[in-house]
Amino acid sequence: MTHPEDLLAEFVDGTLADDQRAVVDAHLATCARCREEVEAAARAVSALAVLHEEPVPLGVTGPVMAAAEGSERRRAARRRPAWDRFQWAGGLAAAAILVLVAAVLLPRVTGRSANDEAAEGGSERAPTAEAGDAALGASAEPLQLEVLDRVLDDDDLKRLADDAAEAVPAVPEREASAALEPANAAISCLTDSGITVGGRDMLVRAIRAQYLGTPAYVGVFHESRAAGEPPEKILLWVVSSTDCSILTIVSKSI
Amino acid sequence: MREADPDAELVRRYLDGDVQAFGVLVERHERRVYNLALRMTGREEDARDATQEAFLTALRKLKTFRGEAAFTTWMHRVTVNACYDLLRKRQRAPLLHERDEGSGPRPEPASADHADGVGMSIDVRAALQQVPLDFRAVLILCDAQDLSYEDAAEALGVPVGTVKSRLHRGRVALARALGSPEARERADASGPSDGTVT
Repeated sequence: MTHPEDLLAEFVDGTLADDQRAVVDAHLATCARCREEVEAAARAVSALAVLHEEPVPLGVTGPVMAAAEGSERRRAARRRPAWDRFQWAGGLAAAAILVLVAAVLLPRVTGRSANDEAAEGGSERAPTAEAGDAALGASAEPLQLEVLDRVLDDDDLKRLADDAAEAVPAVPEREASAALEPANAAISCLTDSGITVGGRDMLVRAIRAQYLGTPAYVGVFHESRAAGEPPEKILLWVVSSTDCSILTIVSKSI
Repeated sequence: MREADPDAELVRRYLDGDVQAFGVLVERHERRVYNLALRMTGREEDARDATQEAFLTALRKLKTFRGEAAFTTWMHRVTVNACYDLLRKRQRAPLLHERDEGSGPRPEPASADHADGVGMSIDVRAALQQVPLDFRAVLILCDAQDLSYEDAAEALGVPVGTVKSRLHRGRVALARALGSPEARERADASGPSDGTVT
């Protein structure tokens, strides 16, 4: 017996044309197997019709938006006309002067000499030399990687963003238990993931910890509309420290 | 009409450099994409990964989206492919009846009725994993995501006739996986309960 299998889905859905439905009806009258299949198919349709729709968990699409913003920034950087780059360089120069002023003033506060800073600094700054200075904010202290021996979750990230928003423009307080290391690897990983360190986005903290179980770097940025302007947003980039892929991003307006 | 498709307009704006437009596309489609991935893979953890991968692929390939199919259909195709890739990579039996505990915050069920609905959803999701993948994909697209046979064919890159025969085979396989008459009665008695049901 030939079974009209190609027609049975539409038979169950009630979308068959009259003549085709008559063919199936006639077949079902004599074929127990197809009758049973049609009943089973109808049960499956009912079961799927009441399938509950789950909400999307937090943190799923954040990295996607971070990647979209990252790729748009790279596109924008390629598109940027020469004049804009010149102005941007001017902003960096201004930031460099600020850094210089701070370098002279800060040791009086911290009791450390400018030479100490220079000896420790240098290699621990962002890969792009000028941007590196701007990225570190108006502080001459080289940015150090805070190593936290614990797992961060989305609430921790929110707290970090809140802290960073309150600490503008001073350097935020570090966790007492954090060990410190040079931040080079973290900065290059953040750069690889698509954010431009320096310019609009000043890196104020770099943290190594686990994010939801994945070894990660957390970059805390002050983002401004343009280089040299006051920050308007706190941006947390969380990237995997193994492959520098973006795990999530948190942003908070100041 | 395609011209009136708000998604097509958002795609155009994104390709013109408006990142926010992509954000709106993600917001509009994340729930469908995530639930498609959850039904295909049966695990919340895998659904998260597949959803992320699908949107990242969409981001990379949006230039190739020519607007011949609706964006929804295209996005279903990208998501199904992400699920196939993920399931191929994992090559392990999905854990049936897993309640996805400990994989991130999720809202508590609002009421006992609602909780029953969630429990049954998990049974159906588990049973879906016993349906062969090619049948499962058609079954989910047509009966859970409500795509037409034609859109499902477009999303899967197969002829419409193939969709219809796989749909029937998939339904029969799901009914068998759901098994006992008691389970079937529960499924029949419950009926659509609220607006969140597809």
